[in-house]
Amino acid sequence: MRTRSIQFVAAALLSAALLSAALPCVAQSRAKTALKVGKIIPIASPEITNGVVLVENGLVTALGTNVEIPWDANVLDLPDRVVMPGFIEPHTWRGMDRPNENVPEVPFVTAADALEPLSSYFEDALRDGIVAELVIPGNDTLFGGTGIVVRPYGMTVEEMTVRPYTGLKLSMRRGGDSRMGQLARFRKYMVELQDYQEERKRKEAVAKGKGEKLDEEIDNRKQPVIDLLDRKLKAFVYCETAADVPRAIQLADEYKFDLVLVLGEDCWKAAKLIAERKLPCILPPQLETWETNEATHEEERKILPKIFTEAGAHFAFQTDFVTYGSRFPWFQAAFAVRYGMSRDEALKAITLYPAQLLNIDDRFGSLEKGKEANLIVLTGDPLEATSWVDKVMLGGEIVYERDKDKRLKKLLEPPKKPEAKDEPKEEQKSDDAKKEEPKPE
Amino acid sequence: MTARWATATAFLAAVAFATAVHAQDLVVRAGTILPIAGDPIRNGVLVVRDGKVAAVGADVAVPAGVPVVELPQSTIMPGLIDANAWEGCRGQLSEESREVFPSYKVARALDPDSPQLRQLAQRGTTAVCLSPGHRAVIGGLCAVVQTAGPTREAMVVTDRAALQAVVGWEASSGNRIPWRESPDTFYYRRPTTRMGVVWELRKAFFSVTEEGQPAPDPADAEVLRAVVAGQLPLRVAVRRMIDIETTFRIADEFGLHNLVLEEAFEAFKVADEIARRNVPVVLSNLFYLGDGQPQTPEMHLNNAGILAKAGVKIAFGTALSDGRPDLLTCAAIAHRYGLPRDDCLKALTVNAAEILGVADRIGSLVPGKDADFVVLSGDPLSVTSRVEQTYLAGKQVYNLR
Repeated sequence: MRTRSIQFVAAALLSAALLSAALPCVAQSRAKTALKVGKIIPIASPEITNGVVLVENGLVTALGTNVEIPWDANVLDLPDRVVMPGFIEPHTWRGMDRPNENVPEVPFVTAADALEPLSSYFEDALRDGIVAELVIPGNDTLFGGTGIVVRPYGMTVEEMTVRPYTGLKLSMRRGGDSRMGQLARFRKYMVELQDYQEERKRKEAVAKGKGEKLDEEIDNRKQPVIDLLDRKLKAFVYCETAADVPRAIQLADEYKFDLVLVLGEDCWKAAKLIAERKLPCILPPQLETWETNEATHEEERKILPKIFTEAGAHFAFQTDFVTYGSRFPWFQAAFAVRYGMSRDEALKAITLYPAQLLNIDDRFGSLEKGKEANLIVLTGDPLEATSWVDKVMLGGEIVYERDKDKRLKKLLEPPKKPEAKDEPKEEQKSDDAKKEEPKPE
Repeated sequence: MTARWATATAFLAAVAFATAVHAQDLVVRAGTILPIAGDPIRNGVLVVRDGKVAAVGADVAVPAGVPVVELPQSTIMPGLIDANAWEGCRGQLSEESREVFPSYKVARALDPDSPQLRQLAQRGTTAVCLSPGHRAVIGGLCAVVQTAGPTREAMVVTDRAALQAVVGWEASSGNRIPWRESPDTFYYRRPTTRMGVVWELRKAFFSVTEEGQPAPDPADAEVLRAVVAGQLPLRVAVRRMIDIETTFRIADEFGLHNLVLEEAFEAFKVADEIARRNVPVVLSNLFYLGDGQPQTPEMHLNNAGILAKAGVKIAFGTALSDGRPDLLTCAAIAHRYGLPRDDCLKALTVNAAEILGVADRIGSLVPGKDADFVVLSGDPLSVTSRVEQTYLAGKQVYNLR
């Protein structure tokens, strides 16, 4: 009898496991949702007026004006709303407890270990329509560590993870060293790594000669840099000044690794070089900078997206709280449009391009048939300051609704004063309570 | 023969007329004119004579022989006024050797060549209120200056816009308590607390209102008396609600009716009281993100909107803000969080001028006022609109192209 019940439990567990393996999608995403909206901005294709986005099993299965809505679909009729793919943040260290380690060579640390899922930053990011972001160590460390692509939703790092182990952060910022010293340190590390790899190869050959396998694991402190050289990881190289850009390129050529440039405000001077080499880059959060001509004291405003567009460079925007607007991806795009960037390109630079940079464009960055439904519903045009994120859908599941955002409500509506007149009884009570209180002597 | 004479006469007449036209005379035709005082004008005309607005409207007689600027796609509005800026001076703003220095004039530190002022002009700002900083309890006299001009004197609209004071912890922040060491700097002094700051402020006003108090420097006394008489606004930097309440208490004590609040992050909590007292507010930072200090004020995204709804006159300033935001961005973001469109536009222009006491000269495009205006590529509250040109007294001081 007892063995039988155990058998039964085991069978039940097994079938449950098989069932869950067969249905990898979460329960909510099995539902069919049809979004009937005033405008669809799919990014990868032209805008659609009065269209439908059909979401099934977490994927976009149809979009357009002539979409047949299945009888069992949950229809959201939103004629005054705009749907577009959620914004992608290609580079940030917010959401970590501290951005930088205090020693220069820490390629083995990972932002995943420092992530604070409940930090208000992720709450704000979701509210602002960001659906995926690369959290990666800061700009102060030579070999800063590896990043992780997360969605700003979930209680645990695992739940948030979109793409683990993405990008190794390198920094050209001279942290106390001279530029010579910084590069010497970099090369020294690389020479030591090459020595290590050669030594390992030698040992492997020796073991092979004996007919054995080398019984020694790779030093996991070096693993991310080895992966960088094997092109399993991209280097996100921070360049503080324009002069750092050619050096970063030189290092990438010399050691043969994939390069993504994370640019400082001064780097507009290297725009042509970046365009010629067709390097992917991320503009700084502050999109304008002033240059004072040392001789004439003439003030020249440099609009970064304008300069990079004119140079023909391919870039993505990042956000940070450096000005009122720069925390919003849409503001960055609108600012670029203000100075002549095309609307299409500007919108791509906050959606598709950063998704490509992070190698998540198979799931994020545009609304296409077969792609995961990671989208936002806006109250108006994405480039207008008066537009709000009304809903956020992650993998077909609505995870944010403005109507239910209590914190936002509290931040926008005046706090109500307690009105004594409406509740005289309670006031009486509290007065009595005060009287009864023994006075301290 | 007669034809030739006629041509010559016409030529002479033209020469005579040309000499009568001033260098800064101008006619501007624009797609939209937002005079602020009055409704928007579609396809409007702005006539500038002698650096002043001579006429504005849709059907305005255009004087002959005056250069005409055609801007059919653009929007024109009065030059933006930054009601609180710490830029435009060389060196330190606060005079730190004294906690109370009413007669100190920040206008004397103005650098007409200041790169920051030129940057502001490029962002459409034509006038700023310079304040002597928040390091002293009474810092001195604020000035209203233009962001460009032929001379320093011409740039100063007034060197006596208001008397700057601080209620709160800030003014005490650098002072130290002499603890064992022998005092070797003047920073070993009062105030080191909030109550100390208030004590210094009260002492200053006592010195001109009570008999038998030690008499202050005559220049200082004159300024303090002007504040007590209500001739000069007392502009008080307040961060938290308790500082606003303290300010009102002191104002009641000394009968100070002419007040302006500055920063005022927590003003939304006492919006009705501020409105009741008819005190205007200069919001010099829309959100204060805090520094983890106990002094960190509570944030409210719609501080501006709540104040405006309660009937408080507000203006924007860019001092204290990170990344030097431009005023148009301030307005666009404030609009996003709930400040109505009209209030946004007024806060940038006429309200700021009124708060600074210079509304007779700037702040709206009406005949007689200075012809300070900005040319925008679109609606002022749209983030995609850019400042294309800036004019000060009818003279172009910035052109994007």
